[in-house]
Amino acid sequence: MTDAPTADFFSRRVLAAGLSYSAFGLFAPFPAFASLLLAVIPMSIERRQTLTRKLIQWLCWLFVELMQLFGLYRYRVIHECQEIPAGKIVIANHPMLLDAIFIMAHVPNVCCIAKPALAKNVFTRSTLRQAGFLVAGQSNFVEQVKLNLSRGENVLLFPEGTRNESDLDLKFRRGAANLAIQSDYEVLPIVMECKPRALQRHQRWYQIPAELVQIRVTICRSFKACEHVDTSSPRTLQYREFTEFLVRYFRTKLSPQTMN
Amino acid sequence: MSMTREEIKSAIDKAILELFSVEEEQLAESAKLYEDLDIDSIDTVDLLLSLNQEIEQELDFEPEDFRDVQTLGNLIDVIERLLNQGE
Repeated sequence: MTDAPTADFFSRRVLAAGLSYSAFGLFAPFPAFASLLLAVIPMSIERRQTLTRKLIQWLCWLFVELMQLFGLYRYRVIHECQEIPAGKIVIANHPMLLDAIFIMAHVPNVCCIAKPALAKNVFTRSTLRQAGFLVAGQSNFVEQVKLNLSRGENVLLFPEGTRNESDLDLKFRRGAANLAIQSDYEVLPIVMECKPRALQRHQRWYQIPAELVQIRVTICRSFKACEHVDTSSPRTLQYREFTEFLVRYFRTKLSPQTMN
Repeated sequence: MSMTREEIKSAIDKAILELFSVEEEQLAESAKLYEDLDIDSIDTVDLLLSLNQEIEQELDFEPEDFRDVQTLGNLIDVIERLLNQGE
């Protein structure tokens, strides 16, 4: 797929991108400072975790609103169900850099799965620990996720593992299906759309489309994996069947007929 | 309980055919578990549980035992070693 024409380097949109990244750099240390402050105030671990996550959610919301204010894009969030999500396995496609930021801005009590490098990084590890985020590859990962879900947390997963190159060429790994079937908690699909595509893996920060980017975040109705697989078959086949179902689900949601 | 290598392969093949969408022709010892048979680490846990039932014996293993397993042949080697250790 060819990229959309990009804005001139000295255009307003590239300036907006520069301002946005600068703002991110300015705000990014804030959670770490807040974590240090929260660490010295006497309170329970659960309370500290709740406050840290609320702070992260608020900062993410502020950031996505700021970028819209700067003119980088226009975005809207569609709720297919009015229920406030709790204890869901949040599964989203991954077309652009900011997917996780949008989701954390609009879904409460998100538990992210951080890369091991971030868990060791001196600037991020205390925030991750206080927020109670999980680390990819940690021992007893599935059991820990079940525990988090039972507490009403929403565990965020990107089954593609990395940003995709095309909306309809989705390659989902089985990790999300493994969790959904083993835990038996509901899956909450979030469909991320970005037209024209922007902030992709191969693009530099100033390669912003000349046309105003429209972003749509659709928070869909949740469902259980067991409703969409043959539960009499071996679990290994259920993982595969549910992964294929999720790919079809997202493709249907992302197809041009559905998007309009 | 002692098993020959052929018996171990036969038990593994049977478990794989039941649990995964693979064809019997794919089950050469050189077949790579992930690249050729699409069997990942979580699948391996289910495979070993099924194998325990197949050989009617509880394999005493640690995750590190399977760290270097890449092919079906490697898996057979590890199972053979674990069974011999149990004797």
